[in-house]
Amino acid sequence: MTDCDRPSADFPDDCVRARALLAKLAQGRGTPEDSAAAEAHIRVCAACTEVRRDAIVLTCAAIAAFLDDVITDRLPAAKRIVFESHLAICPDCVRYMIGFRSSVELTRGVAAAADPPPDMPAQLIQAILAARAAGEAGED
Amino acid sequence: MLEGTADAGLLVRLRAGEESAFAELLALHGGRLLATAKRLLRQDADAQDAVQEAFLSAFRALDGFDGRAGLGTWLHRIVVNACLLRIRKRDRHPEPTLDDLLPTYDSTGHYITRQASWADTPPEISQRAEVRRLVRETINELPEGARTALVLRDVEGLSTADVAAALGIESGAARVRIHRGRQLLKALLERKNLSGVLE
Repeated sequence: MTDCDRPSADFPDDCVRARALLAKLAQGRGTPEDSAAAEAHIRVCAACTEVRRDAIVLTCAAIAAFLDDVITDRLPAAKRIVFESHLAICPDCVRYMIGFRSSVELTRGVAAAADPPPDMPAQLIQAILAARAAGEAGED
Repeated sequence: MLEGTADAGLLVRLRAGEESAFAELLALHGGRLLATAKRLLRQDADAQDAVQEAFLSAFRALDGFDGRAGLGTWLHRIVVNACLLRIRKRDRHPEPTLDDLLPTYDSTGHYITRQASWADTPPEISQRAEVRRLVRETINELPEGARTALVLRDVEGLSTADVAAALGIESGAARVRIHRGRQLLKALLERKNLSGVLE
């Protein structure tokens, strides 16, 4: 169990709060005050400092590979903390993530809002029925 | 449940060889499946041929249909497979890979260029006809491998495992193709200044 899993009596919810701030920053919704508050905690928390170190070491290229799991909410919790910590310090990854998510949602939205399917052309229906009948006759 | 009951009745008539049941099946599912075939094959004539092949193959396989999936789901799978077979058989023309649109990273693995900002896109934006047209046109510009994987996953709604099975590739390879398709589509939409349409 890490320091973060077992917060000290003086800072019982600080890790949870700092990670919530990181998640907010990762979604591009955080303020400079949120960033300062998260940083203040990370400076004094060994486990959060370690997560931050992983996040810095992780490249934007590696972060991009997480995106498919992120948008379907399938990124394991441990990776999510690193992912969000990286995004909290990398505006380009935030922008890329928002664009990636928007593009996929737009594609799915367009698919869901599809125009009514075209009517099956009568001549195609006739052709299929005729081919079936011919096949049946061939089998007899 | 209702669908299952309706399917069961229709299935009995189909298996009995009732002509009107086949016409009913075509009228019931044909339009939707033709739309799927058009999305995958892009050309009307190809799509109609694939749908015809798929229905004929479904008719022959009716006795083996176990009813675990609905008739519509079963037919969708057969049409997707018929379309993929056609795509594989097509003459392969060299096509641009569009790799230059993928993100580029410096030697430390960080983005070289500033990434574009996307405004929040409200869900109702996809209701707009010009947005739908633009997205569809842009999907059709993707290289074949990435386009097929993306259409199956994000338009036809297959799971990644089902995309892999349909394409006859490993799940990891399917994930890579879907991811590449999504990255390229994002970049193409940015190049077309989608934000101009959204504003």
